[in-house]
Amino acid sequence: MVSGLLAFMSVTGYAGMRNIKGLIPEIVPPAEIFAEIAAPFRLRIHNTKRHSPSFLVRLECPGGQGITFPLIGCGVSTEGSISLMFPDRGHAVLDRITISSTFPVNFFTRYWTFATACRFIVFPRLQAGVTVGDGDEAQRHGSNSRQDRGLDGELERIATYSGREPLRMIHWKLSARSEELLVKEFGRQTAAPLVIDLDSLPGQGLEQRISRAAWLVRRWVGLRPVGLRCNGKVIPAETGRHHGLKLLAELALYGRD
Amino acid sequence: MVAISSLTAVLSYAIALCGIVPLFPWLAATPRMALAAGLLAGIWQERRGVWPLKNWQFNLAVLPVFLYYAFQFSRANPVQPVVSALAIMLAVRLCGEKSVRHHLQIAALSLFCLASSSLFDLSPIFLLYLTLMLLLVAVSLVLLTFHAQDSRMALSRPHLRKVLAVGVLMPLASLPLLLLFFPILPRTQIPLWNIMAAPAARPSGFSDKVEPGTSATVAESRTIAFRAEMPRQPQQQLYWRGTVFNRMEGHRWVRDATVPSEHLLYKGARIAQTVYPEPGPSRALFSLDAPAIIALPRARGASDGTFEYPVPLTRRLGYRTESITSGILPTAGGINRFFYLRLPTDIPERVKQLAGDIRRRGTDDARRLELLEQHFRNGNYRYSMRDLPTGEHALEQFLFVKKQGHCEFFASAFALLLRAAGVPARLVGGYLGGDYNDLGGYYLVSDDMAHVWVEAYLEGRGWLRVDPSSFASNAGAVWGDGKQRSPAMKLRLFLDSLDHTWNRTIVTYDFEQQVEIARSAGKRLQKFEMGKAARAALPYLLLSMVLAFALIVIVRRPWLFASRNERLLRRFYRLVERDCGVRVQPGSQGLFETAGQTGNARVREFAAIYAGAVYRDRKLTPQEVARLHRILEEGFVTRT
Repeated sequence: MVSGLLAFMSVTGYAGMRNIKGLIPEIVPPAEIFAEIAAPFRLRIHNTKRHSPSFLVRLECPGGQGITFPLIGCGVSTEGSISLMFPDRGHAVLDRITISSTFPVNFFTRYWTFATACRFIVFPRLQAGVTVGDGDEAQRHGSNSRQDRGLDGELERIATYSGREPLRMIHWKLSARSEELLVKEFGRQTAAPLVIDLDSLPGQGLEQRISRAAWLVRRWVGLRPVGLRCNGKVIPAETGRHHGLKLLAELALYGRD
Repeated sequence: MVAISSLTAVLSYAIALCGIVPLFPWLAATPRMALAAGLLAGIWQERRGVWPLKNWQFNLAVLPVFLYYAFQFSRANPVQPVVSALAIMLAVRLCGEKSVRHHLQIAALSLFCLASSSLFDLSPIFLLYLTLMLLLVAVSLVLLTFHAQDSRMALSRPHLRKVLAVGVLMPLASLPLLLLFFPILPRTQIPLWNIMAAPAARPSGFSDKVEPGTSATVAESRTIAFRAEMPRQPQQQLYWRGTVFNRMEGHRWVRDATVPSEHLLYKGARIAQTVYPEPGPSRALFSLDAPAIIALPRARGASDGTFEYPVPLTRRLGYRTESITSGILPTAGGINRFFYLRLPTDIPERVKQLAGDIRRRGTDDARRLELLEQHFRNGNYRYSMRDLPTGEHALEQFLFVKKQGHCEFFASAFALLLRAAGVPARLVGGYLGGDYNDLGGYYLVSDDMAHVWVEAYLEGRGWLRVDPSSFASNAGAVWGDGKQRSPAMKLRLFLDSLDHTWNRTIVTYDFEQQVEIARSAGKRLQKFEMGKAARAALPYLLLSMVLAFALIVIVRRPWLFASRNERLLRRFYRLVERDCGVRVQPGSQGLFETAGQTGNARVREFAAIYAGAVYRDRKLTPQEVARLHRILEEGFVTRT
């Protein structure tokens, strides 16, 4: 009987060890991680074993959050996502990830810790509440009631040539059919650039100003050029997601390097 | 998708059934009803998914029942209350809502129920239930691990198949390991299943004295005395020697521990047996008459051809023995005639007269023995177990009045008369006969086969086995070989062979046998003859080498049978490392990179020719190959 129990324990021990072997975990952070906001991290695990699947594998980050995969087939990758929240802005790192499993019998938990070099920047906490010019305009997103004329927007209407418009705006084809000169009138696409001056933002203390600045960046960078002035350093105004991330990173690391 | 929770529930009910079914016939009505109701209620609630009663309510309700059975428990009646309480606890667990812990409790209680059924009846079917239960428990444990992670987890059918396969494979994979652990682990002498039913004293057919006339009838007991593994022997040779009674005290024969020394010679073919005695109070070690060797540590042999264990055989063991079955035991030198002729003083007059008559008529011991045999053969003595002579003069009554008795009467009277007639004689106690179990290849000897016969010493020949019972007028009918085996007997032998296999491989395998195996392995190692062993092992060795070589070839084929290009490149790398002292990292470093690192013109030339062909996906021309070979032959050592 003792032999039987020992044999069973040996087999379950071996099965448990083999179950968590040959697994390669990976952690993929999301593009934007803000302090005090849960961010979805993707946990991916690859079973490199050729013949045996892995059962009930739990991937766990240092924070304690984890995800359990009931079965990972041979040579198969599976992924899931967990929400992690960081209290503070700045550099952050998830340096290890634990693979654990209670399989095959729920008496012991076997685990395996992997070193990962998952480094990322936690952007400042977002705090709304600052309005900066042109705010209303953005609210009417999608409407065509802009007053300003420009050269780079959509074609809005055809008007009679007043003499002020540049010659290249004249719609020669239409003018030929009518008796007067007609010009194309375009809307204005580019909004006025917004340069956030960190020091002149309202707020109690640096952290609040940074939080507001981050909110402004996130709010506007897709719609108009946003620049940043802080600590004597000026980042010229540009639009786009990439630029936005650059600004947020600058804010996140402000005073932290 | 299949919900794990429903599967674990089904498994738990199946496990419970494995424990309940064998115990059910032995239970009282209340626990029986409780079990049936619990099982049905559990299944019904499981289907509905509603559990109106909470587990703590059940636990509270079962407390008085438990107390009731606790008061019922007594030394005289220990089993039934315990078993009933177990059954009711299992019933309660079955009908309550089940968490992982409750499923484990059901498995444990079911196992206890199954184990307790062995207190009533230990049949081979028990093993079947046990195997089934262990298999189910293993699968259930795996599923419960999933259940513990998430009670609402569901798996797709292909996934579930994989999980179940692991659950079934694990106990199966444990089997070879079990066989590995079993011979090496130290073990306890306590049987696991029937501790309470451990045999204390078995009513034995074999005793330490021969005292005919104590009762008028003898009840026959079919209790198993021992089993002896051996090839089938002629039935008339199946005399199992246990002990020798060498002194007559009053009207009974006993064994005098101070056996006079004599040197028995064991000549002739030896029959090897392995004997597995049933535990009992006796210390005698049985073997076919007469045993030359009994291989059992601590066993002591006496000079009268008997073997004894220092303590009663209260635990299961097995021993090997070798016997000579010729029926005659020659001695080297003489024997202590005085010791084997001693008689009590109060021998009945009629016995004295008969012995005197034989003594006078016989010229020597052999003739006297013959005369006595004739007296028994012609005296119309009957073998019987009933209506026996009793009292102090039982032997006299047997000899002259009733003329019927069992083997003790025949042997006692015969030895008494032999001694009185001046022929040294002694009684041998043991068994006669045995049912051969063809399936197990052993003789099954039961207590009703207990027997006593006589050994008479004839000068120049030795101790001669004489069975006076065979002179009975009805001996043929009693010991006839022509007994047909009934189907019931065949079934009994079949079941017994399973039982014996269990005892032999599991129960009797003890530390002494472990030591014995280690010792015999050591002996074999000492006897190891190098040349002989090598010759014997050579074919196997060659075969395994060929197999290993084939395996290497298959696995490393690309490496062993590299293409011409690869061979060239490998040789090139080797030379670069040797001659230029550059550590080459094929795979991570390009050919030109390596060449550049060496700063050697010939290396660069090689790289250019090689890469010129191989990297452009064309074959090397014979001229190029020749050139490359020449470069390699010259090596890359720069002479300055």
